[in-house]
Amino acid sequence: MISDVVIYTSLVGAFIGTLGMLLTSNLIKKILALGIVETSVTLFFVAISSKSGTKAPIIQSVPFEAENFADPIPQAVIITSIVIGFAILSLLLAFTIMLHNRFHTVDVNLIENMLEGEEE
Amino acid sequence: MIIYLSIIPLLLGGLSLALHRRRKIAISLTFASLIASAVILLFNLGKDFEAVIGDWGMLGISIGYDEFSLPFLLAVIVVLAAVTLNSLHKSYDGFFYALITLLLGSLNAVFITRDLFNVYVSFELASIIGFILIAYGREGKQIWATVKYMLIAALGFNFYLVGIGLVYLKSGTFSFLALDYMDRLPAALIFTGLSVKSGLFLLSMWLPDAHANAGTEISPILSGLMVKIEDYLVIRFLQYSSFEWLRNFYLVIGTFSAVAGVLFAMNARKAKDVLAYHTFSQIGFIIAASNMAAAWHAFSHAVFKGLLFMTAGNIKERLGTQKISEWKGKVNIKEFLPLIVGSAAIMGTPLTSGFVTKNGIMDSISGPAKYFLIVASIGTVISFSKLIFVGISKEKMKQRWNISLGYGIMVFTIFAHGIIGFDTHHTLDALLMIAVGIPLYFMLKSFLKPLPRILEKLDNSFILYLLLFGVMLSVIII
Repeated sequence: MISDVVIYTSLVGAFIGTLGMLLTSNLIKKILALGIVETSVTLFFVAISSKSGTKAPIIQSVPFEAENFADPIPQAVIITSIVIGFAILSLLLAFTIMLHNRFHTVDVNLIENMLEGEEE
Repeated sequence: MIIYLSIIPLLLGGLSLALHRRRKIAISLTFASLIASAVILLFNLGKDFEAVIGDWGMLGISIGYDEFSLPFLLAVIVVLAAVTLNSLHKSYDGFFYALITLLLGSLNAVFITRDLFNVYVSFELASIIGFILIAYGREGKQIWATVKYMLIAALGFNFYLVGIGLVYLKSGTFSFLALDYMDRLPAALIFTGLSVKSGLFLLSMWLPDAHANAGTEISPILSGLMVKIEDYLVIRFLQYSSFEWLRNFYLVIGTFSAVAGVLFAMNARKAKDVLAYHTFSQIGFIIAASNMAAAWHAFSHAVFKGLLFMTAGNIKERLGTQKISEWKGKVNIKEFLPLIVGSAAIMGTPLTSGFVTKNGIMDSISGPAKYFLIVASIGTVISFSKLIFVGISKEKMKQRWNISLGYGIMVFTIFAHGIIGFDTHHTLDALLMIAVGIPLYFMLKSFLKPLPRILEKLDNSFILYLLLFGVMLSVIII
């Protein structure tokens, strides 16, 4: 029950993040919105893993019989995607710094106009 | 064992990353890993198997090798070897060669993996290296092209993650075997997620900017290898029954991309722009067919487009301009020969690799799509006539041995493939297309003007991508 609610919440979060990437022309805000999308997808995977139970998947005693363990596989794999998301966000921010040093703005439309002027 | 195909280059890449101050060591490590991959590939020729790493059953990462992977693995080795040779005398530091070695490992990993999440990890690793390579020259245009690419691609890959999450929810495994029993929604999410990097018209409008502005050594990698990952995955996934319904969708969008890309390429004035737009067209051919012939066309496209991009980049570096009109009479015969071999291959002239594989694609497609593809082929001839009739200069020029060797590898591959696979039954069609296209070029020459680049702005390409995603979702719901 709870996991269903979380799944829908995460999908709504991803949708809002996508809208955010579309509607602002500020590069930093676009990157932040991408961060929201990535976090929502992480939440989605956590919700999937809690379908089978809500207890942390740690075995305390060797002959274990408890069944309500959350599925550890999605949690284990999503760590990789968190790391990749971190790498992409930091690379994007580094490139934004380089763009700001060159054009003195983070407005997407202004940068595109300036580059078009460079073309000739 | 096939797993070493990706482990050896990744290991040596890490080593050369640590030793990147010594350029010679980094270069020799790159060549060592290229040779190692070629040898391993040679030992596995003709085999067909699938195995799971460790002893984890359905939960482990499965890897495999079959005839679909072979053209792509070969393309990686040929293109990366030629590119590395071409870069030897330039001022690239050891860091560049470390990145190339790591790229080799991650590309090999994509082409042998059979696990949905492992596809994500290795694809993203290859992409991140690609992002750094596009921005390697640190010009304003290059950085902006990278940022555009990264923003759209990162969003697309989150759709892919949601898709494979849904697959896991239903089947409890990330293995490709789960793809046989799957609903339409995850299939659509996986496909829209991947297609952002596919190089199809309307779906990846970041492409012309990134491919045309990247360095001489980088463009062949981007156009030859990076966009091929997605084509490989499309061809592979269409073998599973849950994806069968997407075949018609890909036929339509591939044909559209083939025609639209050629239109843009015909009208472009800069050499690298022509080549970049033409990637749309050739990827359209590959995606429209999506079978074994398409896999081999991907291989030959990687080789001849890599050769064209490398030659165009070298001429640009020598003359300082990309505009074809300013190249008139200044191109040396030593640069003109690879240029004309590449153009002949992309037009599908007999005895080149383009002829063999394009015929395979034409044979496997029937119905109205075939006529559009023929139109696109004639458009190819028109757009590459610009490069053929560029005019040669009589001056003597000394070319470095490493550049000639780089060209030589690719030219040899083109002719070897073309002669081994030669088959007379479409020779007349191919010659007819060329005979129609060249006069058309001289007729249309004065009307060709660069088309507006509105679709390539960041926000517009976002909207186009999301619109196609919405169309896809509505098709499922209806």
